[in-house]
Amino acid sequence: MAPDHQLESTQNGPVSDKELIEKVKCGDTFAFNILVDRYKIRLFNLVYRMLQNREEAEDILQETFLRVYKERESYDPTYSFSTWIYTITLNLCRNELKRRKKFKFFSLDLIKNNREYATPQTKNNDCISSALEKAIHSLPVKYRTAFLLRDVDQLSYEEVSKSMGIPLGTVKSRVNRARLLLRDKLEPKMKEYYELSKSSPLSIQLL
Amino acid sequence: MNCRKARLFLFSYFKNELSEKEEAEIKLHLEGCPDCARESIKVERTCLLIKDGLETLTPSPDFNQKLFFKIQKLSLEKTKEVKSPSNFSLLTSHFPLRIRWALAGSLAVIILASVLLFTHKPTPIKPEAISKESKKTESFELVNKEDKEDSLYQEMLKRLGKRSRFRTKTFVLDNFRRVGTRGIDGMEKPEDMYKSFIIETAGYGAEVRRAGNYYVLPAVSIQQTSEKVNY
Repeated sequence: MAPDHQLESTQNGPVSDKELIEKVKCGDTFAFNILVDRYKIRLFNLVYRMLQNREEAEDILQETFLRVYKERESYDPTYSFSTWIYTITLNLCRNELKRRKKFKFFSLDLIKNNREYATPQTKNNDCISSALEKAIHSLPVKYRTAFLLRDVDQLSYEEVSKSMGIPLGTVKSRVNRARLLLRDKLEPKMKEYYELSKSSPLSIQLL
Repeated sequence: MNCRKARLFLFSYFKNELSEKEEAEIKLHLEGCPDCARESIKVERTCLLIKDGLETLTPSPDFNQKLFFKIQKLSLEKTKEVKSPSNFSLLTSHFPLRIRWALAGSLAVIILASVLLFTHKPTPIKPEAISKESKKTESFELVNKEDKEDSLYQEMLKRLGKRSRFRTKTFVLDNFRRVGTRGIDGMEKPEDMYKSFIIETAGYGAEVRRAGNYYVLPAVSIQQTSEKVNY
């Protein structure tokens, strides 16, 4: 077996994030590459849904991984690596949103709906996706963040609480609030989806 | 469980976040309440939509490449810093860019001012300007008659004579040029040409003194001075 594959997974399963970051601390860039591959897609989706701009999302993500690399020595292994990287990402997103408040920002992505790197989807799914994306984007930032971490990235409530630096009860109420808001926003579209999706593969899941 | 509480827990119910007891309570309520059952269908659809309806976006294909290029650049910068730590950059690196510019500006002004100040002061010549390789030519009659009558010359001679037990011998070099004086434009100025006495004091030591418009230079020894000394 090639050494790179050994690093990605062992007989006991995939190598844990903590083991990988310990290797990165010793200067192992290959271990860092695995960490990047493990997190880049979900973090990219998170940042994109926070900022609604593809290029900026990529810049923020680059900055996130650079910070992880720079601050690798300061990582405390008693905490979860995912919580640490999520905290860094959210802080950078927060800074970017603050900066936008100062300088008027208008995303070109909203107009051109650039789907250069997107995975190909069916027309029906595209419609559902964009309605859902719009509904998520219309949520207030604090609800949106909690919702994305919990329901999209599937983090536990404890992990969301640690990543956002807020109490567990607050996370639960924010997530629930976001879900209820989404349900209300999507309700008018639901019938339409229901009708359209009768012949689509999603209809089976929805019914 | 009442309808209000049941609706609040519907999402958690479909997300399997409730305890067994709560789950059983909701189930029981939905069986007996058609309104809440209808609401539960909407919630379930929303849950499914959230789960499967979002498309997964991927960053650009050269994302890792870009990142590792930046990391390499970072490590190169670090090694450079370790190799040649500049005190000035260490001192100023924590200042914002605006303050750094201001510091650089004021420093430039200080340097310019001090250069201007010092270029207007006459700089004394260095005693080692006298050629040590010159031959033993004993031509002591270099002093002009006018110079011999010069009161300043007489006074200097008197003072040197008092201090030294050796007989003093004097040379005067015409068109004596001060070392290191230049105008602001970098050109030598005509007033920089001076007449000068070179007074041999036989081991008295080389010392440059200023007296009026003259530079009096006690030379090291008679053997080392001659009319061929060229400034």
